[in-house]
Amino acid sequence: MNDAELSVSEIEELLGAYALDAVDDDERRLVDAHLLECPRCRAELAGHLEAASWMAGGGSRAPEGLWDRIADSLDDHVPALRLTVVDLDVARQAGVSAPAAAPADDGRVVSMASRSRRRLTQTLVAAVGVAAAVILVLGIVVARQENRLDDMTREVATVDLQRAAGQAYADPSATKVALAAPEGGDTKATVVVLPDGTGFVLGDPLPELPDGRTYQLWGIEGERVISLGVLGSAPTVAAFPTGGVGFTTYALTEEDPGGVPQSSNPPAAVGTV
Amino acid sequence: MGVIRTDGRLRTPATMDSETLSSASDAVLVIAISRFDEHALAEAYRRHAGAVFALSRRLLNDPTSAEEVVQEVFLRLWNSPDKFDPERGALRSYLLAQSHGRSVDLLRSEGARRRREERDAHRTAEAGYDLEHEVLDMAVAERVKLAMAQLHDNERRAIELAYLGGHTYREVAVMLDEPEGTVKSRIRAGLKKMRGLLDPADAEVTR
Repeated sequence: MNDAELSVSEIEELLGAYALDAVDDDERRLVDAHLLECPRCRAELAGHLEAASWMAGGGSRAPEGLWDRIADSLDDHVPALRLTVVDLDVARQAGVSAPAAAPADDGRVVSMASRSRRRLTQTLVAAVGVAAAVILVLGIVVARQENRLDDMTREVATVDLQRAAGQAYADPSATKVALAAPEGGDTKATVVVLPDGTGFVLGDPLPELPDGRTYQLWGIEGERVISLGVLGSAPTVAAFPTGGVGFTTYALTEEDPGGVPQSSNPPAAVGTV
Repeated sequence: MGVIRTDGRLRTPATMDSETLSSASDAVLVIAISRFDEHALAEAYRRHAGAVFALSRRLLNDPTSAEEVVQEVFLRLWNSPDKFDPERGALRSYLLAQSHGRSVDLLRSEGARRRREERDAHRTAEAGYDLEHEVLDMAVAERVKLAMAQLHDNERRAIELAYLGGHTYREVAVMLDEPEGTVKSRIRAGLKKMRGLLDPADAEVTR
């Protein structure tokens, strides 16, 4: 079976069975692909899943001790990174302000998952307390405007993000990866990862994108491709968490505002550790 | 604010107290889970684990396997909260869909298939297996039962065999001796009808 064998109406006809896991693998793949680009079918599917969930009923209590086993195993699972996109989508759904990425006064965006903010705060506080060794002079000041930034971070972030990135760049123990166009050419950006997992991406500089477009940073480890942040249209410096994951490749793609969970675009720049 | 580093991992203390947690929406819980708030995961578990377990146990007819499915579902929520797409429905729907999908995967594995055949044969021989009664045996809200009763028989049976029996629509077509396209359409039409009959805001089992 291939794409040509199913029309859109045939795929729509499958949505009910798809919601009940009653399609075969080929059909599932076709529906999956269609759902990515069809909001109407996503809405219909949501209705089918809701109806199915009612059939499942309220259930009883889960067995005694099961939660304890889950809680114990949380320590055995190194958590994956949290995606900016998720925060945005969920926050939008919940009607709360989006914490992960917000446009700055100059229209640029610096985005980090909340955990990276906490981690960055540590880095930044440390940076303030240490005499600056090397400070990279970056062309454009990056402003950050995040509703949930704590006060301390807000005070030091604008200036000291650059300072922290500069110190990271000068740290001999840091891993540095040059990102360039896949076909080769000049370096467009540099990723710097400190031994504690804090990462920075520095534009060298990155070409400014037209309005309505944004860079998105990705880390690749084996078959896992994880979003590390939505950077805005003209980023010069941003921080991100690696969560201890040993990414072997970093890539930048060009996306619509807000970023995407999975990119289908070719990388604008890519670099391997 | 505080950060505790242990074994190379960042762990943040709970950001919501128990009262806030218990009144938080599911969407807010997922945001907290994405920030490694174990209390938020515990609250999501408290709300939905019973249904997740019941559905898996119903499909697998094996409490031990069902517990493993519950564990997988909630660990997946912890490790990959981004997989939950609010556009595709509520958290409860998502968790149940995860539970259903994983349970069906297990069910369709070769060994499990044999067990199911034995189980179905046993039930048929023993009591005149009636899926409708199976549904009624579950802890389904009364209005859901009433909504299902308003479906055409052939719609209801197709949905039950697919959802609660774990069969593909092609298998259902064979079982009901009807064309595959007809079964496919009936499943879709029946689910749409149920959706129309039940206002999500009123459904007792939804949050």
